Amino acid sequence: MARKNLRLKKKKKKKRKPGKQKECYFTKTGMVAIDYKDTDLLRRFVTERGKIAPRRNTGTHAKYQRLLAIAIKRARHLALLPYVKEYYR
Amino acid sequence: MHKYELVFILRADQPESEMESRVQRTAAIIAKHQGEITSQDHWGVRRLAYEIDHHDKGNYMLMKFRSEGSALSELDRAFRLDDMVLRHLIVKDEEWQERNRAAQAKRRQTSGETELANQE
Repeated sequence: MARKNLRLKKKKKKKRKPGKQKECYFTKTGMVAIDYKDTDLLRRFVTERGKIAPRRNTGTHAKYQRLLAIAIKRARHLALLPYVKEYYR
Repeated sequence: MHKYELVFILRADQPESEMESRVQRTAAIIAKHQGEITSQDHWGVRRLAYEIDHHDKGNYMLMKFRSEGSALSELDRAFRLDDMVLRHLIVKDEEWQERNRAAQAKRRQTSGETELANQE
């Protein structure tokens, strides 16, 4: 009996369900370079809070995610994009 | 000689003459290093995404230039010491738009060719 309880307490590992594979925007549109000045584009790849969105959500290929990260960081430096979005100002 | 791109943000409470003087000073430094300004784009006063030193607006200027790499440290120093400049960024001009346009045009061409091949 005691043994059974112990087993029940074991935490279940969270598994991400493999959702529908999203298409990489940059591959789809044939873009090869990501400009830090193109804030309308960059905005699509950050979360509501202004974090860089993970690849699993956006479907971006690794190659473009790297370029994207550089572009977003440059845009943040120039105050074109926020580091954190402040809701309660 | 390499192509570079420079963006700086001047405090929005400064007159345009201040912007002009910075542009001229930048041009002088670049000229000193056998370079030249290839294009200039004044974005004007924009809202900043976050406050910098209690300023919520900034006067943006983009300049593209060609010069020896030796100009960069001098430019960087000039902007860093300038209290009226909130931010600056000097990067290699990677010609993002031009490369995208070229790649997309090429893709359209090749996809057009395959479509033609499929029709035949």
